Amino acid sequence: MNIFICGTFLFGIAFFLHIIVWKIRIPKNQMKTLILIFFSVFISGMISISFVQCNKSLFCQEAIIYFSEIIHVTIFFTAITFSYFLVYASFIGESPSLFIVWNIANSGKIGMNKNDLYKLIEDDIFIKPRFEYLIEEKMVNKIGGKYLLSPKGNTFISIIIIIQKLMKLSKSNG
Amino acid sequence: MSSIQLLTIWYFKGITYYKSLITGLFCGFIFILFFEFYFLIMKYYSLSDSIALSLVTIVSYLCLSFCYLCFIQLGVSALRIRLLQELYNSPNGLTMDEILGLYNSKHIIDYRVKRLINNGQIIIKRDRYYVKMSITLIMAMILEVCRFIILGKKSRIKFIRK
Repeated sequence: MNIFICGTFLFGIAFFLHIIVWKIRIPKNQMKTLILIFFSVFISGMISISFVQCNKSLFCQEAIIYFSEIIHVTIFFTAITFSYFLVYASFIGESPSLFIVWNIANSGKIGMNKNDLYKLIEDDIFIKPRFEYLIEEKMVNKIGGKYLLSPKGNTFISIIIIIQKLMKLSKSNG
Repeated sequence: MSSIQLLTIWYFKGITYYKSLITGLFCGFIFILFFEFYFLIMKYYSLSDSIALSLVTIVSYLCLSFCYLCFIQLGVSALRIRLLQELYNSPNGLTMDEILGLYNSKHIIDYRVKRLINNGQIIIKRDRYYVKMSITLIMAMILEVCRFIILGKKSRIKFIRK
């Protein structure tokens, strides 16, 4: 029961704090701020529990949470937090599939043909912002008007290619 | 989950990538339920503790599976990965026009529309596309509601049609 209460409570506090911060002002670097909020709350929570544990005589006689439970809480909290980060990433980034689906949904009984979709989805919406992100993250370098993979981008794509081979996936996706 | 998924991909003919994911997820879930049930019968913990612990384990498993799926899915549908792949295949580098010649929004639409039709998420009638109630549409609606609550952005889906 301790694990469930502790994990849910810490996640709840972090989520509440994140909503408050976002209502005041949406940060420029949203993902980094999100990671900072969630893991600061988690580390503070764990330090507080350890403090209570070390000073048992001040609070209660029995251990409130055992070491194995702390590990379990860490796994539980990390799992739900990372899942939330992934869901949040889909709020800020535009997914082409969802974009197509909700645009066709909005067209109702009239429907849409391919040309309507071509007019709606342009390179400026999906390709260019993602490419700029890759440059910002230093995965791609611009040298003399040409774009080249940086060592960081090369390592990252090599890992993805290994996964694609393991999963027997087609290389021309996207 | 991942080991079962890899085994089904490599050793079972006719099992597609998506079916292997579902098989892996399902087998892992059964495995967890079996152990949770075992601990409940053996009475290691009180009933309330057992239920809470099972809940924590199941939620952790589902969340970690979701993270795993998202990571693996990067190699399937992520646009950034496709852009990196195009650069990886061109050691001398590419200009923006060359990149857009190899991969552009028209390519995205063709590929995604084909996939959405194959998965039954949209239907085609006399060259026009119509949406069907599907997991993707429900997901799009949920995401729009969450975007509105968290980011305060107005929904782009017309929930009520005039």
